[in-house]
Amino acid sequence: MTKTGIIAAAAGLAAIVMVFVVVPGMRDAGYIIRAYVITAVIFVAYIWSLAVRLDRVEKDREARQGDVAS
Amino acid sequence: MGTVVLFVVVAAIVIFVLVYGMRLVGMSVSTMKRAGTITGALSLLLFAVGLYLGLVWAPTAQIMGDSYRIMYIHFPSWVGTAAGYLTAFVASVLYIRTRKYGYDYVAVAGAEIGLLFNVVGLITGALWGRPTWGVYWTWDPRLTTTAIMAITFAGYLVLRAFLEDPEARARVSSLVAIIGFVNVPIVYFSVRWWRTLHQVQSSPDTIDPPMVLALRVMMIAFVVLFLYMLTQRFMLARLRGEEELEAVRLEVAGD
Repeated sequence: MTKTGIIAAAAGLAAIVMVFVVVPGMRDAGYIIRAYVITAVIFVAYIWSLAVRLDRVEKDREARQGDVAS
Repeated sequence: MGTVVLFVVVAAIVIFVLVYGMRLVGMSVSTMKRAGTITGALSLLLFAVGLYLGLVWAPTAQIMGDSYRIMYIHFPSWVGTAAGYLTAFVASVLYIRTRKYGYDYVAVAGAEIGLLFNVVGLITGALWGRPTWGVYWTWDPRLTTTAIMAITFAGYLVLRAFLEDPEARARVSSLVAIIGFVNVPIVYFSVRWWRTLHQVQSSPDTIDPPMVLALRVMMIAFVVLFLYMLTQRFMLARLRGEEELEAVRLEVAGD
């Protein structure tokens, strides 16, 4: 888990909660909720995956530089 | 007058996105991290404001009811798609001209994020289509050309995964991105060239001002989110690319 991933997940969750609080009384609420929730999940999943991949590459690089130095 | 101002603002945003994307090539990791923090925090703030404006503050549409609120994520996702594919196109042209790997990294970042927004646009479009048209999907020219665009850039990413030689991968995928970009203007003009189910682009003059404001805030939020993702994805591509080139150099030296 990375700090960026956690912030993205928290923000996505906050957006989903807001959608579930505000939208249910509206006409065609089901479609609106699905559209917003799916969008939030896609963005959070991508940002999470990016943060994890970036963290892994940076750690590998640091480890290799440490090996070269020693 | 309003349309001229809008055109100038959109052109300025497009130029800014492109200049930012291409300048990533010469940026240090610390500067990119700082840019990532700024754009990430700014996009969170803009999304909070935009969601409030779009879901709470903007009024219900007279004919369409509330389903039009999907517009606040559907339309901006196409802005992100266009920004991603345009970035990939320009970076690919620059790679072909200069053979600098940095532009190849920008291109892959733009294409991947463009595809992400493209998928969001297709899904939200289907969910908006069902209550308004009665179907999730139809072979309307706009929808079909958009799906072809997504498949083309998905193919671009698959192709990159298959090519092991960094130079060949950068060269071949640049050509695919340049050819694939031809579809972007076709998608934009498809609603004018072949009038079927999908409506033509709306003018801000015919939309209620609160709706326009909410849409603009969400569009800026998506553009800033795009810049954040582009920075992060470019950084990843560069670190991986440098690692790969180092491995190739060691292999050649070992021979």
